[in-house]
Amino acid sequence: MKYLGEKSLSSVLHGFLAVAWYLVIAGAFFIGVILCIAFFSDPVLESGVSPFSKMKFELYSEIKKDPEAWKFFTSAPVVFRVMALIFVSAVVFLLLKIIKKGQQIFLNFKNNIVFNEANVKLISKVSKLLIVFSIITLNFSSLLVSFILLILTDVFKNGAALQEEHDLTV
Amino acid sequence: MGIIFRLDRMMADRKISLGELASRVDLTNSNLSILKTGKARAIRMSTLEAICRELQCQPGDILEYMPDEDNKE
Repeated sequence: MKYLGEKSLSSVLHGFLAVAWYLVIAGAFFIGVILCIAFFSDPVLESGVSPFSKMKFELYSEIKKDPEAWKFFTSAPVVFRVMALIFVSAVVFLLLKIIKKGQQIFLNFKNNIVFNEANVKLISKVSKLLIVFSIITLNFSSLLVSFILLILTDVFKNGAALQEEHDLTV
Repeated sequence: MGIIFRLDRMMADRKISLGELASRVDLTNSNLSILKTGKARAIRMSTLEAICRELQCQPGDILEYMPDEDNKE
């Protein structure tokens, strides 16, 4: 399989990240709605006519099955609820940023632009975003990936210098 | 860099255009332009040989050393 150019691995990964971008947005919207309903609205005791009230009723029925969780939700202070929403928003924002930067990197690879300063900056940004993401979500496997990306940034930096040297040799 | 390309002066003396010289030495216009404007980091011996052959000159006629301000005592 080719790594660069049209119909290459980079092209496939670029398309895959484009799909992932929309999936994250859809997932974030869905989770946001559920969290807002769970944290900020009153319980609904009967299933209503509209799809929204039906969803609200089903959600509360589900939560009520576990009394501890229900107590936790109802007794949580407003500050905690707001913090939870901020946490979810931050995770989604970081995910979207990482996906967007990854898309730009693979688009550059697809267009045969590999060793240049723009790619070095993009990979460096992705690794830094991944470090923040892994610390927030306590996901240490992504921390390992971010360290590998940091090493890759140095490799690309040297590659970009060699490429520039090559391009300016007449 | 202390090395200055005097290609533009030699081309003017020989009354030869950038495109014509590029085609004679088998270089692209953009590469010869890089050389002419002094943006080049290095020059191949084969390129220098071709330019000297076509312009009928010595390497010293197109390359000149001028000390940088930092290197001046």
